[in-house]
Amino acid sequence: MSAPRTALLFLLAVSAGLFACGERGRRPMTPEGRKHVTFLTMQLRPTFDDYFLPLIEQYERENPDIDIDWIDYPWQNYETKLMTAFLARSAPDVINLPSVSLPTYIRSGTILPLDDIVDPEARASYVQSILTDSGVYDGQLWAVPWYAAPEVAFVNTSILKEAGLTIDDVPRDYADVPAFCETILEKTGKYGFYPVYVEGGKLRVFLWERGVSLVSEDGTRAAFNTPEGLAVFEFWVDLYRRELVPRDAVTATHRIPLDQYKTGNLAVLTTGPQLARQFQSDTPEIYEATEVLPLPRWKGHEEHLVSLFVFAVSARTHHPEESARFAEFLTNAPNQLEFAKRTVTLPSVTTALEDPFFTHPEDSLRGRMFAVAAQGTRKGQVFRPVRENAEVLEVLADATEAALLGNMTPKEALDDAEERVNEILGR
Amino acid sequence: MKSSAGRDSQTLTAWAFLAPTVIVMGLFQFLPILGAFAVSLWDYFPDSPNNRFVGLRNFSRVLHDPAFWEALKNSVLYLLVVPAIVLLALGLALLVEPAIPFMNAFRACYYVPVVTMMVVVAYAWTLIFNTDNGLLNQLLVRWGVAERGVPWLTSESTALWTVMTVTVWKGLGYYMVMFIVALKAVPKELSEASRIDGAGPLQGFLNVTIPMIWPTVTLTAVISSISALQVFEEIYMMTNGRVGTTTLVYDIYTTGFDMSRGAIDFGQACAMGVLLFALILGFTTVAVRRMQGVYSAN
Repeated sequence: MSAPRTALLFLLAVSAGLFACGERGRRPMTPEGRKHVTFLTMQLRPTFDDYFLPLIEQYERENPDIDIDWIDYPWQNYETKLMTAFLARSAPDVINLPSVSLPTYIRSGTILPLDDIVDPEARASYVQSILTDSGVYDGQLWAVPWYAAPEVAFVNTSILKEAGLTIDDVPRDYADVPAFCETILEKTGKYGFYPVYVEGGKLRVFLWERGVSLVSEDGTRAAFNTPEGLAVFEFWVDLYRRELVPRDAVTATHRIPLDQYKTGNLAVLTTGPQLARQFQSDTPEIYEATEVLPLPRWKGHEEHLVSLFVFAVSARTHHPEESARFAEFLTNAPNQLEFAKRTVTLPSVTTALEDPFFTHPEDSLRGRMFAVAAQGTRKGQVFRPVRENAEVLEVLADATEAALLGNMTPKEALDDAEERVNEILGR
Repeated sequence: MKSSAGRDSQTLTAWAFLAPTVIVMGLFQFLPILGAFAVSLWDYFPDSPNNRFVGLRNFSRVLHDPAFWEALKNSVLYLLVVPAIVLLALGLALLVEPAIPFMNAFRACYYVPVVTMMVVVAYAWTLIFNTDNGLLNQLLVRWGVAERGVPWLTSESTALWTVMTVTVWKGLGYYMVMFIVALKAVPKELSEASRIDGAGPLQGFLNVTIPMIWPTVTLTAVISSISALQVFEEIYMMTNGRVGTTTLVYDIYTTGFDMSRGAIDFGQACAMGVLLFALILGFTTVAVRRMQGVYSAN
């Protein structure tokens, strides 16, 4: 065979390989004439295959004209992959999103308003504060809530014992945190708490926990530079400046306290209950020594902040009603309850939260974890991104860093942040 | 002499073999690069009906953003890893280039960081540099060098430099191999001739070896400069872009891809990418010309 012919055959083979890599366009109908609905989840395959596959089978049995296709992306670059799918005009019909991302998709017009297609009865079944905070923008419903992850406090009782303390000595009120940290540090050389200061503009959470709003009601001005706002900011800065929490907390992301807890260097870890799986498998001895409590609160402020995942429907879908029906099915009480039991997350449907599984939990760490987290979800509130959210959070992170490092006093940092936020919102 | 038909056949064969690479690179590298240039002129979200042409507005916003200038300053400062890498890699190559016992073991040791994922390397070094219970600080305190832990990664005066040492440490082995190859290519007769002419080891090295390996020095400097201007993983893993360590690529990531902030801006991120491209192109062009001129002028 001549060289050019070999080369040409080689080229054809490579081209065929490349085309084979391409994804089939999403078809609105199957060859048998059934409506094709795709749904996307974040890093749930293959761990939860045994939950989803029978569920899909059940739905297809009950709705013989629907064909469900489940897609799952890993959490790394989840939304980058999703945007690539949008770019290729092959976005799934039903999309699982963190609620904080929703405004970006609403603004871009890539998801559908659901008011006219979500069944009113289904809509009434969700915890209404969660539904409104997470999915309603400009008076319209854009997504239905799925699972919630309220933070809880994991306590390493071995460290407490070493410090001569009991579980009753763990602070329920933030005001008691400095004394607790001081005792733990003095008696064990370890840290009591590990606040994550700057990741995601955490100052917003600190302020919220004390009932301080970030921006004015009309969203046009900063509203956090008040005596109450300053007091809470000074509290957290003081904790750091007195070195009662690790000095690396100024740059830490949420995985660092988890690592410190897993290695037995941290007494109290505040995080989502689903992360207990990590230290259960990695360091079982720490899991054995762990007890769970609600997050400390400020007196008079009982609300809990929850992270939430929602289902939205792509604006490109050929089957909006069928997609909404399937999202309702995935998020109905029995299905959410079953999913919660398997994942240690919390359902966003009222009747599921009232299940004895949460109200009369089994006497184990897992059971208590559910009970504590469910309590948080009932009083749960979901953060709504403010206008120019990314820039505003960056300003808060800068202010926190400046105060922690001593480049500014808390008052100066808050004044500066207020000025910058007003400038951003005033554009 | 080859016939015209023979030449045509050779050209065709060459193109056929090149075509897969050209097609793949065109589709997955050059086309996206052109796309980024286009997106930088738009208020853009994939498949959005609201996309609109905004001209140079994204560039104007970037250039009026103090955070961009801070990131640019840090990226330029990061170029200081280049002389460190070149000098240390050359030094290592000189140490392991001659036939000494366990030479291959030494070379392998120095090369291990190169093949280790940056995420793993950065995480390990984060633990070593931990202020309160990191290995380095524990040793410094035990040896009496420091009274208390140095805030390696949590102070604006040390954080960027600390991250830079990790970049240097990880890259050394790669550039060392390049220098070993270059040193082996220096003809022994030249060194011997210089010795006969009375040149000492240092003179011989400066006047014979360095000019001979200068193209490799240039190449190493250019490649490590481009890598330095594109630094991301170390910053992301070790400081989360805080305490004065944000660089251009980190800024591009947070602007265009970090959905945890509740908003992304592709247009602005692409505008920053275009500016970074211009910076790298300008810098490498000037650097290559100047470095090539060092010995060609003599």
